[in-house]
Amino acid sequence: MPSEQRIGIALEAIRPNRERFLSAVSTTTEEIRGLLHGTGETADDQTVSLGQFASGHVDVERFAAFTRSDSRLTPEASEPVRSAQRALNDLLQMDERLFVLEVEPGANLGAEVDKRLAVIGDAFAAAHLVDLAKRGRYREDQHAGLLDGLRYAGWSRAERKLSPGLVVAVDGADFAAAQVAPYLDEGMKLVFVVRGDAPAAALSRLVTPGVFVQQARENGSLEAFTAFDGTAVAALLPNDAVEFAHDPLAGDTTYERFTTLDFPREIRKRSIGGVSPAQQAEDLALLEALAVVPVPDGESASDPAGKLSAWLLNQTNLVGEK
Amino acid sequence: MGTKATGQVNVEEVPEHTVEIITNSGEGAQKCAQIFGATCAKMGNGVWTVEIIPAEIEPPHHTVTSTSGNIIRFGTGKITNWGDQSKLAVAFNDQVLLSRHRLDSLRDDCIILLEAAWKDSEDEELRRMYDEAMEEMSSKNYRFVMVPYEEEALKIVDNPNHGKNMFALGLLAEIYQRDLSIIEKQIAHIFRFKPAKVTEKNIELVKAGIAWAKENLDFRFHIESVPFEEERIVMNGNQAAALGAIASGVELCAMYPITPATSVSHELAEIIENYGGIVHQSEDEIAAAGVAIGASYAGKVALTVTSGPGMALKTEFLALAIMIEVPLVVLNVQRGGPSTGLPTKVEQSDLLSSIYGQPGDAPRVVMAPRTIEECFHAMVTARKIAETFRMVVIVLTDANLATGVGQFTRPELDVRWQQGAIDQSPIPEGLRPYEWDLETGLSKRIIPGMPGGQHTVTGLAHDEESLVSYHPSSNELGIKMRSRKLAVFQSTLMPPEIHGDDEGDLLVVGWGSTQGAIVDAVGRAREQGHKVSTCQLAFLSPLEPGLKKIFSRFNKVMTVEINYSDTPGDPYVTEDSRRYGQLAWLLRAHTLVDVECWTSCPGQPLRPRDIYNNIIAQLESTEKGVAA
Repeated sequence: MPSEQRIGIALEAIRPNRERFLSAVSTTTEEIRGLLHGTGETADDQTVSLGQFASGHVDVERFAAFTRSDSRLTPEASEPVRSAQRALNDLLQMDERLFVLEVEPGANLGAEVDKRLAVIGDAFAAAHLVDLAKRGRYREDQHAGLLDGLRYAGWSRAERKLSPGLVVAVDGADFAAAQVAPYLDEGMKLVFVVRGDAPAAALSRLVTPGVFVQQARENGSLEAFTAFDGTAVAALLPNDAVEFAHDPLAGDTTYERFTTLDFPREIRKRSIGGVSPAQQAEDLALLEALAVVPVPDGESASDPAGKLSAWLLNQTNLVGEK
Repeated sequence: MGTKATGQVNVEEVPEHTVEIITNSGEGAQKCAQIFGATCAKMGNGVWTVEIIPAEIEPPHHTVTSTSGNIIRFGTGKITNWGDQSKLAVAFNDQVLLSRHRLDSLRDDCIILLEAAWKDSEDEELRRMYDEAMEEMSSKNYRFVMVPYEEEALKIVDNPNHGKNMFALGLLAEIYQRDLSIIEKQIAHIFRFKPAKVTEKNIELVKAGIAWAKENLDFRFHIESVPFEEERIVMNGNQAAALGAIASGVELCAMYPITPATSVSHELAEIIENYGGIVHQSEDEIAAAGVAIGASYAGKVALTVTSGPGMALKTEFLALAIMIEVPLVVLNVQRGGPSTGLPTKVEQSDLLSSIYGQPGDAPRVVMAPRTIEECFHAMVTARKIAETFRMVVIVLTDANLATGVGQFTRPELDVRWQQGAIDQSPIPEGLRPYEWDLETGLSKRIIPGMPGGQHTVTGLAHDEESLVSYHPSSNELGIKMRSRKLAVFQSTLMPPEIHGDDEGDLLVVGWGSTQGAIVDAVGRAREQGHKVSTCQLAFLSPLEPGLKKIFSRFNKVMTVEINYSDTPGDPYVTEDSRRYGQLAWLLRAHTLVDVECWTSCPGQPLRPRDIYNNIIAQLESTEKGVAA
């Protein structure tokens, strides 16, 4: 499947989050327009706003006394608010590009994600700035740098809940998924579109009790990912990857939460990027340990889970090539 | 045929002229007149046009009821009304001409360019009708010029009904020395959506008309054109209102088609989407009001457009808008009534229903543009008032303004005419949805989605929390607060401007579209030494302040209106039973002054001469009264 098509699927998977975020940005933009409208309104502004029909009929000064201005900005506060307005407009103009991160080959995945989230964070910084200006608490020396990018680490809980999610297109060789663990919080949704060979169980180390984790192959569906109301991470991987979905709402124990699990017929035994076959085997073993129903002591491996476990061990032969 | 015998052409210098183009419905009089009027305006003449439109879409041809046409008054100076009578008429048959004669629309010395074919028609009945019509019109000194419109048009087009009008336009172009290049551009504009050959044929017809006039007509009129220093635009009142609505930032116009208001939405539909708005044609008038109210409630700038019968249907929904204090602009293009009445004709009979036509106490602002230009600018002011006071504002125009074409200075658009984005900051804790300022009745406008602003909207009596409340004091407070806003708005109004002296024998008071004709009539009376002044009200609810004081400086006050009033002396009409004109009622109640009225509802605009005659009659009756 072409990369653009997979990115389209990924974008669709985070659509509810994107829409919620854009709605909030639009509302803030409207709020800023509302705040700026009337800022510094002069008698001339009032005269004009009433239109020429009012000329000679309406006492403009008197009329102006009844136009509400209780939340208008002071002239001093208007410039930073205008900066916030520009920042938000810039974000809105990026449209879908804002939510798609194309990681250059060889780049550090975690650092790139951090940078893009800082750009998205400008929306929250702008809202923060507007709030300060409205309350008359904006201080140039303290707050001038607010719009220089608000890193995820600085996002409040409410802001994290409003995260639009991110689609990350990355080479399999650079797909060090563990690097994004710090960003999986409060409803964040990340979808990786992995190019080329990739570790077969790359996301296994992200499986934690509260996070929806899914690996899908080319024709896999991300509907459950989209429907999950909480933190979630998914990867669209090549067909030789493990396919699984870990849904925190599906059960109390870890293995109950694995709603799907399908291992490929054959798993490569070679390094991908900096991940050695041994490390990949560890990922698979971890997945198995998490997903497979434990076999009580003394029981043979005749039950399905035991057979699966044995097959896994066979597949992850550590003697293979380096 | 024609009148030019010796080759001598008489050119008469005149300050203005009034031309009628009258045809059967469907013979293109409107297009001919539109192009002629626009050409005059673009050449720098003042222009005012009035449409003559039958209410029926396809009335029987060649009858007095089939008359369709246009009256174009144009001159060197500013023209504000359609004048008294026409001085030249283009008539495609004797019967449509007869209808205008019977309405006394033609001057005694009117030049009539009449289709030549009917006199010798093969149809005996048509010949008989022609002879009888000419006999009836022989009481006047009209100058008839027989013109072979159909015969000449057939030389160029197969269907003369699609060509006679342009041939007639050629005659007028030659008689009034109009700029052919402007005419050609106007034709190209009007037929811009048709194949190029349509434009070419029409221009050929105009040139044929010019050639025929050069060959056959011995008279010309020269009306000096003074190009305007500023840029001007030419349009009718409905177009002006539509553009004004866009300029004021209207985002949604909800409507249901109704004559003569529909063309407002046609104009809007063509361009409003370019400015971020939409026109919504609802399933009926009631739904249109509901959609507009919903949009406004959601924070959008909303407008609904209608005419008399539509206003009646919208009544209940307008009451809801008033009750929940949603800003709303309503454009009512008045027509003759009651019921379906006179759909294409002018009347000013919706004044009282616009102000009071609502069960319960439902205060609203009512304002009336007086010129085509004001139709544009009134929309801007209406929006601002509606939003500032969270009120329904009704803009009353009429068919005279709606279909009359004039030119005015091109407005310099200003973004400050539009609503700024609503501040959607969280609602301060404790602020109630109807936290009325007890002095002004004003309260913060809350739109859906504002944090902390969640509340139930209800048309039932409600308290400050917007909760249904039948408590006596709660209902009293709500009514008082909604009414207070009207008083507050009135406190921002200034006394009306008086044309003429500030005191005298008679003050003529009008409202809306009659301004031009009244000012003309009062001007004539003043030229003859009469102490008459006039003022034209633009705000009817609330009324402009200071009226009682102004009236006290005149011996008599008289309204002039296009609506019904009893004529004193008519059977059964007594002091007790007499019904006054609608503005007169209003002014009498408001000022306790014995305001007189002269009203007429002929379905057409008032003539300055008729107003003048009634001014003189009023002055004479006042003098007699004083003498007695």
